[in-house]
Amino acid sequence: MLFNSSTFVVFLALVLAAYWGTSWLALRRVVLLIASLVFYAWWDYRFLGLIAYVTLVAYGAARSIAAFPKRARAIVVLTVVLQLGQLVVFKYTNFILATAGDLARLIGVAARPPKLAILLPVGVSFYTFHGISYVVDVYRGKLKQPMSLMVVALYVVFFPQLVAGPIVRADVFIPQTLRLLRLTSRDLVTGLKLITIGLICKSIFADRLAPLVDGIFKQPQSFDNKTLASAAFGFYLQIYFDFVGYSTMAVGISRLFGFTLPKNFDYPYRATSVTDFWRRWHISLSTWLRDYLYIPLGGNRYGTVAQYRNLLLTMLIGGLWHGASYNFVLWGGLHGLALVAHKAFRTRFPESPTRGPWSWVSLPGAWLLTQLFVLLAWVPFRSATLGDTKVVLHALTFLRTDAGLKSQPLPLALLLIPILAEHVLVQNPRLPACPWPRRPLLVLGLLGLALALVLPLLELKVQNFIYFQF
Amino acid sequence: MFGTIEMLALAAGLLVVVASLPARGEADVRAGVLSYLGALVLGALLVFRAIDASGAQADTRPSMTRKYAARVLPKTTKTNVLFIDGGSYALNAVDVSALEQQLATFGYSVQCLKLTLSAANHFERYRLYEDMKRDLVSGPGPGKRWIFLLEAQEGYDHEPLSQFDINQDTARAFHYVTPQNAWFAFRAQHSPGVRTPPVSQWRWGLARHMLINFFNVGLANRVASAEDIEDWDGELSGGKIRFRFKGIKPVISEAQRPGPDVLVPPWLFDIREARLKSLWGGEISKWVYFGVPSTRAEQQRYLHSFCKVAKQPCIEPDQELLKAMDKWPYWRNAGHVTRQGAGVYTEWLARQLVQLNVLSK
Repeated sequence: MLFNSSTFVVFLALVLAAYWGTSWLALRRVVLLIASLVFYAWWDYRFLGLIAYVTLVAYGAARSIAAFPKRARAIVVLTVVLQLGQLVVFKYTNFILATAGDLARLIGVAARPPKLAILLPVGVSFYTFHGISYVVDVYRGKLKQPMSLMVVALYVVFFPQLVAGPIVRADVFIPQTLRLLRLTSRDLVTGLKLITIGLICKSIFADRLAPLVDGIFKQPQSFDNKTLASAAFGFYLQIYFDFVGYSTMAVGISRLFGFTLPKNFDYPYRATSVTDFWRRWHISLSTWLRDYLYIPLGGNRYGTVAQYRNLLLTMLIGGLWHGASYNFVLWGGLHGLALVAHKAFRTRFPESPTRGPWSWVSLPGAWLLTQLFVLLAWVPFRSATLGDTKVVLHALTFLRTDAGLKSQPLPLALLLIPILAEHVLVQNPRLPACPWPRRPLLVLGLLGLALALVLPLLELKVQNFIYFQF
Repeated sequence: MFGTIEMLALAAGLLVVVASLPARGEADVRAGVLSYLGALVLGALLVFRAIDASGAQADTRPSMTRKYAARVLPKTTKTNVLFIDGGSYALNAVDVSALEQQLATFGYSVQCLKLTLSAANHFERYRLYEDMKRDLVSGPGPGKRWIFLLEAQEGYDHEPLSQFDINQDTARAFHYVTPQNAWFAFRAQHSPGVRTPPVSQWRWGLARHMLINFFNVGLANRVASAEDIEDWDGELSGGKIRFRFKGIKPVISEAQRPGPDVLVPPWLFDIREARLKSLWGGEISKWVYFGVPSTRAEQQRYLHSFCKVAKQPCIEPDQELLKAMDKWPYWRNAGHVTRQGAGVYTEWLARQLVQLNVLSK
């Protein structure tokens, strides 16, 4: 059930009616839990067992921490092993086997590891992280006491963020499940506004790019350099609009239930450094990795070399989290190296590019360099194989011989109009604010009219969200 | 009709506007929900009107027929206009130019308008007639007669949502499943004697298409300027015969075997006929049912039962016609005739129309 499908619209309407139809907190939780399980079962009911496993491990671990505080650390370690264990089984078994085979071949042992038919459960990486986050937050005392099974289950499976995030912290989400939320007109405006914005980003901007970009990346060797360059830029935009669209809708839908989730994106293509980029891109993942991986690894507490190692490790694991493939490892590694390089640069030149007499040159330069890097790093992320990555990167140098190859560059308007509107015109403090009336009823009416105008522009062939596969 | 740049620019503009809307102040939530939904519905109606007023039409085969009708109807000087309704069976069986010529030899001045559509159920055909009606500037005019020939066909009549399983999620289905059509299709599906569509969850499918239709979802991507839509007059199709004809005599005897009448679903009269009459009002002088020959006994038996209960004149293939068509070159498959078969049927149909005395001299 995709957010931009008609099935979901009906599902959401029914769940909202049932949820707000009662003012009994426990019943509201039951409604949300059942709805979330139905939402997940719509893809594959067989994996409900996996969700139950993640929930029960998290619930049991938190109870055990409360019961045996002296063994809390060991319990946390065991929980992480158990939670990541299932993730490894479902997501990385074939990758591990293939890597073992590659290594064996390297040392001259002829090995052909089997490829197991393991289905990847939708959203497994997201809810596994929720399972870990809950236990760690209990261990760290961010949650005063272990929660009931119902609350833990709801935190793990809350449907708006179940399959593609944002990864919400237990200490942010759970307190909201403990009080009777009230829907205000402000929630309604914010929620509907975010849903409309997300719909435009996903179903108009990203979905128009998707078939064109996919077609080119399917067989990159058949296309000329200009086409591949436009496809690389196209994917740079597609993945952003796809993911920001989904996340924004998720936050908006949650708001209709009275839940406030943190935003997952903050105009990442405005970033002027890789560090800045990671403060703006998939914020819930980058902060999760920072708090639950980078800091436990030592963070910046043990000197520069250790800090660089920790950064690199965090990003490599972050890359691998996205998928079991060398391409994702390469993507994570590139970002890790860039973060290290940026840290080293800022240690040597602490002056921010936004300040100083040369800021009019350094700031656009830093932005251009950052975005060029981000774009290049998306190439291995999108390519099917390392070979395809090589072809596209070679094409981007414009030194590749491309005579006689197909030339189908993406239309410039398709590439520029969406990003200029979304990144330059929206929330730009330099532009004058629209003098809208502040009456909520009028604003809601305008939102209804806006949606009526957006709907005819949607692509009816609904494309899957890219981040579902992670 | 709407290019990528226009659509993206509009979407980008809407994004900027929506993002700038303030979330401040307090109001009653129920009133807020009503305000939102009311504006959404009103907006959907306005968008539909605006797109319609821009001259855009659904970019589908039925629109080609609509365009053909809009071209021919205002210009015709003939005394009689014969609207021919039907699916692919009638499309293949009626040769309009031959029919006009035949009727002319009997002294009738007739303009045939072939409105037959392949794989179109009665509701899709109704949508075409609705569109056609909106294109009309005036009615038949003094001394002129408009006659509607309505096809009776066992498959389409017993399965109101016939072909929905094949056509769902296409521009055609999104166009014809209007809220009214969806409601009447739903009612028709609950009429006695009808078959359930071979698509699971057809009710949800119908509701989904209705929502997409009403809220114009993706409409900009599936309309074209009327000028860009080709004009199609329902010309007979050619193609190879991939059918082993086993003779029609067993079909005749099977159809004649005594037995109870086939149940004719009441919705054909309560809904189909009633809606068509209401749509066209007094502009249609005569409604006539007709059936096309088939090598399948159930169709023959059905037509026989249908003509017994129909309150309008009904043309049922008789033994003379069936015997004349007992030759393999006339049959493309069990229910569709070839061009040669159409020649035989059309000549027979012309005679039946004359005998019914529904045309004006």
